[in-house]
Amino acid sequence: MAERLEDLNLPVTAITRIAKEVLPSNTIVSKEAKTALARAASVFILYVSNQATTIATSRNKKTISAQDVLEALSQVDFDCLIEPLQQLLEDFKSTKQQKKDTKKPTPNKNIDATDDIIDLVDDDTDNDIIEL
Amino acid sequence: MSAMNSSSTSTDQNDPSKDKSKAPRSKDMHLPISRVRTIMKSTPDIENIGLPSLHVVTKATELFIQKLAMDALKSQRHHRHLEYNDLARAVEENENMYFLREVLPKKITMAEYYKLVGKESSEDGEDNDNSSQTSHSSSSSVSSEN
Repeated sequence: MAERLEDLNLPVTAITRIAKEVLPSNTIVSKEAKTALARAASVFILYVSNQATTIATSRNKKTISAQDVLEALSQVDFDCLIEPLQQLLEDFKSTKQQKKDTKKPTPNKNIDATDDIIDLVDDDTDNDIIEL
Repeated sequence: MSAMNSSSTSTDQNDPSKDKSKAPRSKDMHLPISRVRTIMKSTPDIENIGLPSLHVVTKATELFIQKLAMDALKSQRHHRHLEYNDLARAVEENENMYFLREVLPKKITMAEYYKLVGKESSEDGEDNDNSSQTSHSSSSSVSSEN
């Protein structure tokens, strides 16, 4: 939770940099416009997460998933943002998968393999006993 | 159980360092994710936020800022200076930005204000709202500077 009101503000410098990424290079953004953009961004986050919360609770879920957020965006008429976000989500998932793969190298696989072998042996012996 | 716990803490420790070390990532992600989480957490009735959804909201906010800035620039004549009123006009013209109408109200001159008051006394209350919001915005901008 936000303890102070300032906690709900986004850094104006970051917001300006993001906006200038798409604006023509010689554009001058007034100071008032910068703070207005930052305020709009904060309200946008609240707006979208409020919508996403409604969607999540309607499905009896306590955690907001990425799918809830995408659906919320579509409900509030920001369908144009969804496509790049889906790509981001896929990238996010694939990097997570890569992290998992690199983090758990050979030892885990070996353990899994030995587990399987033990299971198989156990099954065989059980079967043998039953047969006998 | 212990193995699972250790793996989760190690991912937590790795995430910030990765953001720093990976140049393309830090270029993509300009907004502080922790701040976005704080803002999301102040939504009523919210319980938990998944990490992927936090990333999606952060990126969505960035795209939204760019969209708003571009719309504002399109609607103005000079194409060089982006002013507050350009943003307010973009909010007024786009239907899906209706939620920002009270956050970014269009500024009007006193002469226009008196005209409005003269025409419709019922709009008096709305104008008072707007003025209180602009004063609030100036105070918030002051606090952010400090």
